[in-house]
Amino acid sequence: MSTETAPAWTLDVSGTPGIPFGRLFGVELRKSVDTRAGRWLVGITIGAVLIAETIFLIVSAAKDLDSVYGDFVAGAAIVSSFLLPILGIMLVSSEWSQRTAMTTFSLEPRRMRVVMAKMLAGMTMTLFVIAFALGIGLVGNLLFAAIQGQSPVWSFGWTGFTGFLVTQTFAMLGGFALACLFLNTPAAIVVYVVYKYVLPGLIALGSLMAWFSSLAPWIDFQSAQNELYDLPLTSTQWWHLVVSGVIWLLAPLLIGLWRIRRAEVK
Amino acid sequence: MSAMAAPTTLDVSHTPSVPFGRLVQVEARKLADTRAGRWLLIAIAALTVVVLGIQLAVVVANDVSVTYLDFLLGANTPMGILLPVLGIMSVTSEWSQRTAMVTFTLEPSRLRVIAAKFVCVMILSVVALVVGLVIGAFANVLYGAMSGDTVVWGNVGTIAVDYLLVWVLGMATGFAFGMVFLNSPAGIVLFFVYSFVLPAPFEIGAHLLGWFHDIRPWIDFNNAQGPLLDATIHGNEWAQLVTSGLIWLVLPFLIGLARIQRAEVK
Repeated sequence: MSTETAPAWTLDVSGTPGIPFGRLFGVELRKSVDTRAGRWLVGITIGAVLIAETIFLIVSAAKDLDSVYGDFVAGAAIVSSFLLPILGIMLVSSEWSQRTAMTTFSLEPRRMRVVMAKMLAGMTMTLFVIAFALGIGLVGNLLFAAIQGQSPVWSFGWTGFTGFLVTQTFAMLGGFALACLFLNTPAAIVVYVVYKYVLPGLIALGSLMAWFSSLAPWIDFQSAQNELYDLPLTSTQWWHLVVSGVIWLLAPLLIGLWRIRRAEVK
Repeated sequence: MSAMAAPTTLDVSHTPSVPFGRLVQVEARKLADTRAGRWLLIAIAALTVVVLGIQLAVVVANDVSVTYLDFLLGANTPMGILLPVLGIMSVTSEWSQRTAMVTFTLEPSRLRVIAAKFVCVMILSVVALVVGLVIGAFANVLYGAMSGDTVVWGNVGTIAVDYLLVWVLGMATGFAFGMVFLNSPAGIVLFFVYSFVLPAPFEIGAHLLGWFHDIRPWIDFNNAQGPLLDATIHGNEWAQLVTSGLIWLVLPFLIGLARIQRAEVK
């Protein structure tokens, strides 16, 4: 037994500033592209968009279609809308599957700040994908005009664009919410796909019944969002969006955030 | 320095290798006795019951006349999506849960392990068929009792064989995707891209381009399975199922087998 007593250590952190939110945001943004899964996901999205645009360009030129700028952007958007929610899911669940949560939450123990930084990073990626769709659509439209030997037609539905912006952001956030709820990549992806592809069929089937048909608009988030492509909405349509959004986006998100606050970090 | 220990030899010349039946048994247990596997099986059964319940309520309320085949089509909605996921995870979970090290240490002949896994997956498609047929029959009998219409069974033998093929092909395709990527999220996402995103460009291409319209039935595996779901497959459609299956099932399967044999186990 030694007789020495350890010197009283105090670590004075009163002057140490907390991690600024901007740095958390920068780190999370980097995680979304500078990891193997993230890089491949972004790479596959960009690759798939390029392939879809090329096919659309070839078909338009071969069949002499009257394709305009909006059509080229829509072609890119269809592909990216499937993969954006996956990005939203992996932003959250990969902390658990790759076991980085321990480091992340040790460096910034206020978990909600990390989650907010992730959400902001997800929205930034959504904006990036939308900008990419606009850019690639521009190239496609110019090439189409050059091949056809005519001047490019730039008509583009700007109300449609607003709808596109909002629905893509909701799609990403929907994935994000499911990931917070499950904290597990495969589970969140499978449930998201069931929600996106199985649920509409069930709702359509159920709507054959009169009582469900009047209820359906209030609980069907996907068709409520589709109305956004035809702005402005009536007040009933806004309420459909709000009520169904609370069910499919806000409720899973809040339960998920509550879960993240208490989840074991392992 | 301690003295050298006497060289010891381990005589394994009389130790029999692990019998294949035991491998199958272990893999079957892994499918049902892990958290992911058990929940997936429960989700498949529960969703099938829910879908058929909704279908039953709707057809009775609206006086729609349906047959046994319609109920199996309903059962295929959850099963067609979730069974392939089970096929994917039966392979990829060895890597994501890091059990591959133990598995391939106990049985270093990797192809035997994969063969055992595949046998389990095939057994599970038969189980899925029995469950689907029984739940469907139950719904059909209830439909007859509740609506007072005559219960139509159709050619149950053909229906059973065709749906067995659908689920065998679905699970085998998932299994092949799992082997190619050895990563649950990547396998699941790309499988869903193949089954939900790809049909759209195929449809558009076939609609607009004459030559693509002609070759599409021979290369579109999703489309080629359509006649199986209607239990009307005949003649040329069998050949189209085979050629498209070579592209989307056999080719990934072979690539996956080659990859498994060389993949780093970590």
